[in-house]
Amino acid sequence: MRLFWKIITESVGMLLLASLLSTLGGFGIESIKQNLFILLPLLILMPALNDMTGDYGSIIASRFTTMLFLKHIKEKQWWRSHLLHRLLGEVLIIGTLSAIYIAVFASIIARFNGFAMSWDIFQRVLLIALFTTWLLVLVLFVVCVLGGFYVYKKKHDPDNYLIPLSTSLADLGSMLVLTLLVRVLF
Amino acid sequence: MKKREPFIYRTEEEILALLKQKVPRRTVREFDEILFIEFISVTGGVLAGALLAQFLDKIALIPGLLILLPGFLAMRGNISGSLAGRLSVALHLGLLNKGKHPGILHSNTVAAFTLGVFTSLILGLVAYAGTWLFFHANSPQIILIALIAGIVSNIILIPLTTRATIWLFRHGHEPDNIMGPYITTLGDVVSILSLIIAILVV
Repeated sequence: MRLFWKIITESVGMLLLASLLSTLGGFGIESIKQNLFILLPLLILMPALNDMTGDYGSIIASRFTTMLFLKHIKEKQWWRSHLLHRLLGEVLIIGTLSAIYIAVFASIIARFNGFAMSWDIFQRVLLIALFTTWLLVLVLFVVCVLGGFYVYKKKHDPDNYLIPLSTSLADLGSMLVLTLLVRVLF
Repeated sequence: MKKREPFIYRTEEEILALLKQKVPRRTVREFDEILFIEFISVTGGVLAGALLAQFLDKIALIPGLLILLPGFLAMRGNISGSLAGRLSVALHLGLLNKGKHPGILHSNTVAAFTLGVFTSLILGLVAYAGTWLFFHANSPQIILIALIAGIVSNIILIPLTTRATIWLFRHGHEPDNIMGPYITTLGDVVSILSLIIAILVV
């Protein structure tokens, strides 16, 4: 029963904040709704991009927490840790490959749905997918590491804070970066 | 003391063998695990995007549902993601071995269910208030839709998350690498289905 209340009290605030942050992101997408309906590949790409950045937030947060609990990482000069370099490298490479894949896949589906796909539009779609992924992976990595050390020092479980925080930050961030790039590029 | 041989005197095979040693097998396996599950996840995401467009006209009929949708999707991933993360740490620390600390699994699943229902209710209330404030539409059914969808999605997702995390760990995989993408993809599909069920019920 003590564990139950510990999970509830540690999670509820962050969970509500995270869910409400994601709700805010919906307003951003609403503002470019017309563009999204016209540019079919972006509409198809949007949930995958949103999922993908959330996945990386979750992977970074949970693996970093496990490193902390297993005492594989110390706060002093954390940026020199080869484990963290490896984690960031892995996520960036996979992020790049996934971004290329979803841009190509979304463009093919859009083409089959009758959208007049051109090389110029494909390049812009690819640029949006790549830039959003790179920017968010870097931001999420820094937030997870700094936030993780802070929460761990307070003797709380970083999983209860970092996963909701990183996934919502990824949700909100991906929608905002997408909104901004669509406004700039189209 | 054995003198180190200069690099240029080594054969091509020896250099390749040395380069292979630089990348631990565990790293290659982790990379493969994440890459594989991520490709499945993003494929699911693209297909979900195409499916969502199919149901958009039905969703648009309920005022406030589009305000609820992003928060609801995020909530499902957050609750199940945290549950999987906690179980992963417990598994790594050996706390979920047979007969040892039996209450851990129960407390974790009950807490995840309680959080899911409570957060769904709050999101329903926020969506209702947002609809009323910004769109001047009185749509109290959105609260009931959020609550029913929260209960349905919890009933499906929590057992799936628990079983998958334990199964992956026991089969030598790292749940931290796989569960995140698995939860978000599954969470999206289950959440949209739960919302559609809730709309049909209400």
